Amino acid sequence: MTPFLNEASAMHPLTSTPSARPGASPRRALRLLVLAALCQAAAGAYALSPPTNLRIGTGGGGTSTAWPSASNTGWQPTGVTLKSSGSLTVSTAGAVIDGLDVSGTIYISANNVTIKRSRIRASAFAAIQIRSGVTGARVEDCEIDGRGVSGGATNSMGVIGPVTVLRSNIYGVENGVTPESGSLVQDSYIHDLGAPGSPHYDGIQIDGGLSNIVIRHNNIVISQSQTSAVMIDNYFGSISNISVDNNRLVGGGFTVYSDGQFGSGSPRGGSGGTISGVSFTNNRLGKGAAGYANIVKNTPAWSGNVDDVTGQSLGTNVWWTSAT
Amino acid sequence: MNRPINLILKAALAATWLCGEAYALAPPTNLRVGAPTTPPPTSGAKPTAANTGWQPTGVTLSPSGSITVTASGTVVDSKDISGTLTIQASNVTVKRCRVRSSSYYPIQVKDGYSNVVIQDTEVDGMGGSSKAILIGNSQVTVQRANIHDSEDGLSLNGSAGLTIVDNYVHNPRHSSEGHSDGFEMYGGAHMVIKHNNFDYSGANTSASNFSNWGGSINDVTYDGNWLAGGAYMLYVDGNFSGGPISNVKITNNRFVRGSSQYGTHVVRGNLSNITWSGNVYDDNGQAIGQ
Repeated sequence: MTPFLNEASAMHPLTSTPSARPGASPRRALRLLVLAALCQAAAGAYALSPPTNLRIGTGGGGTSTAWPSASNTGWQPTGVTLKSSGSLTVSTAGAVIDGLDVSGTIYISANNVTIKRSRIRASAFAAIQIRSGVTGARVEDCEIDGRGVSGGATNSMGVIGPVTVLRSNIYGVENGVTPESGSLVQDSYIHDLGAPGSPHYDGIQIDGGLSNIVIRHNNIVISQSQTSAVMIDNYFGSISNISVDNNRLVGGGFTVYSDGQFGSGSPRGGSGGTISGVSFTNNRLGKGAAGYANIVKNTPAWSGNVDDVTGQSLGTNVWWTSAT
Repeated sequence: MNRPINLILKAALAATWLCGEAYALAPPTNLRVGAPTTPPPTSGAKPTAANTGWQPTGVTLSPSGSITVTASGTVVDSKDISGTLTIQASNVTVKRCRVRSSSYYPIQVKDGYSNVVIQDTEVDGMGGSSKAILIGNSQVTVQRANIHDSEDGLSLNGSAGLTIVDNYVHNPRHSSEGHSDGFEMYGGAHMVIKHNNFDYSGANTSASNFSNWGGSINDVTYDGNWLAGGAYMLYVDGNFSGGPISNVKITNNRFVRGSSQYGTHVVRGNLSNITWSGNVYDDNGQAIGQ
């Protein structure tokens, strides 16, 4: 993999700043438009999806006009030319993997590794896995295809571990991102999930024993009637400080969960523990088959959330809560 | 409470109710015309508009805004509520009322109460409500209610003991993203659902839906009901993530042939000890196997 490290890392203006898309400047907007013209990709797509600095208001769940989509996430909008690769294990601190077309998986075991402008297609437990305890891992402008129901693996993850995921296009897996403590998932498009077996689809899966995770300005669409766009529960232990802000979250059984039902005495077992410091703010929620929110044995902060279709404000009275 | 009363007194009482002071002063039930006080569940006539809600009782309603009941022992009787009715107390009886609201929940019983009875009451979701009656983890009986024009009719998720008998749930309404269920339970336990008419013809999901989206489901008797409408009329669907569906008796129910999009029922997934017997097509009594 060494020849690819740092290769072409300065080729593309989209990656010239780490926070390019969310905190975009007017110049960046212009660049995007020029790029769209040059690439002739998905004609007019950028014009239809202005950069986030054109958002009306700040943080209003009903006001964002630039949701992550196939036209502004992944490697394709960056214009990079991919080079083929097999599976990678990245064990060099600070390595940058750029512009690769990986048929297989990426395992990151060193600090400060960046995977960017790449495509990872894997029929495996995880397309990208970051070893627990590793810091500074980033996945930017990547497309991740878990190969879906017919070609994928059971219980598959797009990205798992402590990580910052930006502007990535993730599909064909059972669970889009399974972040560990300290993670950030932002400006990403998680959609068309699919995996063999008996999948429980989650766009974001946070199953306990975790803290300090931010899920911000993503577009997560679950076309199945289960399980969720964002799952937060205490199966593997306590939860604290999870922010789910300014996302578009659609579908599933319940669209979001903050579910403290697990632990001794629960028919479902699990480690249990407390859930605290969870917040759902300024999100657009597309109602799942069972409802918008499953909130059990905890009281998350909840404000500024609206229905994705009608824009109607959704108060805490949309919470479903169970006694079992 | 059962003191003698004439129409003049009744009018005076109505005036008192308008002042919002006397929910405990219920008119005597001997003024009721028509419906029997307690028709026997599972053997009486099919629940319809003629034998559910306030109208068959012959009562005259008095107007009211939204009500939140917080005092144990409260009786809410003969009220025409334009707004919501929220119950946060035990030993509460709601009877012979109409509740009209397009709010998310026209009637809601919150968690932690017992001996709440809702009977002979009409709930009109006005095409806007999500769940006409939402019952949390409290012990509640709903009897002879006429529930209509809501996305979902009855939504239950408690385990404190629920009795749902002789109700008429009909005329579903739903938004483009809605999933209309006459009756829904996504986790809960200890409930009896008997002799109801869940006519959800035109609904996109079901007449009755037990799905483990939120939690496990245990100890349910679902007996002698009529079902119509939905993708399937009945779901007992353990294919979700909420734990097992166990000890559920689905018996002696009547399915309206051809009223649903795909079939009569789905019983699948994480199940144990499901009893299925005596379920038939309503038109000719033809048996429906599990």
